[in-house]
Amino acid sequence: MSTTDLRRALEADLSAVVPPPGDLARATREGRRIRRRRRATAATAAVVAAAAVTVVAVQVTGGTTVRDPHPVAPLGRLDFSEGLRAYAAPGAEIHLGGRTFPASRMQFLDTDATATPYGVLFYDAGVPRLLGESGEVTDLEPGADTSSSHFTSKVDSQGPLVAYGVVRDGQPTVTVRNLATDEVVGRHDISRDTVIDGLDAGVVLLRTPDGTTTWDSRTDAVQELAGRETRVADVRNGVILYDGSAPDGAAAAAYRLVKGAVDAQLTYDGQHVLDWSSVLQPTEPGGEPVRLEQGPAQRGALGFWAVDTDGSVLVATVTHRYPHYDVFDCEVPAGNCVKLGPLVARHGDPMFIGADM
Amino acid sequence: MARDVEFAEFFTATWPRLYRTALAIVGDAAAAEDAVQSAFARVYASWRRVSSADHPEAYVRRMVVNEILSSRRHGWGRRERPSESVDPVTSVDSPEHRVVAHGSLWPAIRELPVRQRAVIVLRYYEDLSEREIAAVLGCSPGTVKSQASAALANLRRHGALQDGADA
Repeated sequence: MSTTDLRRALEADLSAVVPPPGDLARATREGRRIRRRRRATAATAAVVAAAAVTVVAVQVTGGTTVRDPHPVAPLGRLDFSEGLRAYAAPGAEIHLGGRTFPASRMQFLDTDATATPYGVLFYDAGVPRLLGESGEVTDLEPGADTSSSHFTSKVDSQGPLVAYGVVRDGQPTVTVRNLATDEVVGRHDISRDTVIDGLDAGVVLLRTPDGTTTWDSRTDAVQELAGRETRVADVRNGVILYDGSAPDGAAAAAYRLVKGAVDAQLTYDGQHVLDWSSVLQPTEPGGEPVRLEQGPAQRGALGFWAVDTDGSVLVATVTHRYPHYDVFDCEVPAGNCVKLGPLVARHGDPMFIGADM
Repeated sequence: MARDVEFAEFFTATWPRLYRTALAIVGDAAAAEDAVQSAFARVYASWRRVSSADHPEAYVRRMVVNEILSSRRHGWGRRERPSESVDPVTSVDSPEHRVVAHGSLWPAIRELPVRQRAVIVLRYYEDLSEREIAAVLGCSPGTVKSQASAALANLRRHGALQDGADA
C-alpha cells in the first residue's frame, strides 16, 4: 500500500462509518452552562481565590442572607501602577497586581466583578466590596441590604468613577461612586431586572427588557437611548459601540455611534475596537488600525484579549504549544508589548478578571 | 434565536465529518462521540467567535483534536467535562471492523502514538497541509513533518505500507 492507497483507504473506511446522531440539545445545554460558569468564575472566583483567603460561606436563612464581616483575609500590598493586570488560568492560578495566587477556592461567591484602577469590585451577597491595592477588602455600601440580586457594575474610563447596583431599604438603586474620594456622586432607583451596560463621564447606561436609557449621575437627568433591539457593547469617551439597531433615542445625539459586536470592547479613548484580534480597528473613517506586537492578527485565531484598567490591552496567546500561553500587556496606540509571564490553562480558557470580553 | 438556529445548522452539517475524524484518531466510538460532543458544547459557549472565524469547521476540528490529545494526557475521568447527564453510550463500530481489503491498516494505525495518529488522519483523511496540521496541533510544521515521517515508518514496519511508498 502506498500513501495514495492510504488516503483512499482512510476515506473509504471512514465514509462507511455511520456516525451516531449528535445530541444538539445537550451541546447547547452544556454550552450555556460553560458560559454561565465562565462569567461566574471570571468574576467571583477570581476575587475570592485571588485572595487565597478564608472566605466564610454565606448563609441564607429564611430568605435573609447573612455575611461574615471579614470574608477575605488581607493579601498584602498589590501594585496597580501598571493597571490591575488581573488574569487567571481557571483552576490553577490567578495573577493580580503583580502577584500570583493559587486558584484553589473559586466557587464561593455568586457575583460579577469589575476591574477598576482602584481594585476589583465584587459583590458579596449582593453588597459591593472593593479589593484594593492595599490587599484589603472594604465595603462600599455598609448599610446596604444583602440580596440575591445579580447586579452588574461598570468603571468609567474618564474619571475615578464606578457604577454598581445595590439594594437599599428594599429599593434597588444604581450608585455612582468616586473611588478617589470615596464619595457617592449620585443614586438612582432601578428595577431588579436592570443591567448596567456602561459608564462614561458619569453617565450610566441602563438596560431593561424595554430598552436602554441614560442616567446622568451629576444632574440626575434621564433620557431614552435605544429600544429593545439594541445592545450596547461598550461606551468610552463619547463613543457608543452597539449591536443590533442603531440607538435612536434623544440621548443618542450626544454620542458617536459605532456598530460592532456585542462582545467587543472600545479602547479607553474610544478610537479603536478590540474584537478578538490583535489588530484594533479604528472607530472613525480613515483612522489607522492599531497593531499589537503580540497575539494573532486574524479574527478567529486562538487568543484572548481585554482592555486593562490603565487603558492598555492584555493579550494571552499561544506562543509554544496549546494550552501554554504567554500573557502580554500592550500599549495603545503604540502596540508595543511587555511580557507578563506564562500561563498554562488546562481547565478552561484564560480569563481576564473583571474585564473579560 | 438566530444564534441557536445558526449553531444548529452548523452542528448538523459538521457533526458527521468531525465524528469520523475523531473516531479515526481516538479509535473508540464512545470516546470519539464524547470528544466531539464536548467540543460542540464549547463551540456553543463561544459561538460568535467561532462563527466569525474564516473557517469555523477548521476551528472546531482543532477543538476536537485537542480534546482528544488533552484527554489522552490527563485521562477522561479527570478532565472537566460539561456533562449534566451521562447518556448511554451509543455503540458504533470502529473503522477497524470495516476493514477487509486493507486488513493491516487499522491495527497498525492504532499502534501509533496518538499524535502520530492525528497527523496521519489530518494529512491523509482531512487532506490538510503540514502548516494547517501544525496549526491544529499547536506545533511547528517541522514537528508535523517529523511526526508524519515517524508515523509512516511505523506503518511500514507493521506492513501496512510498502517500503519506499510515496510520501
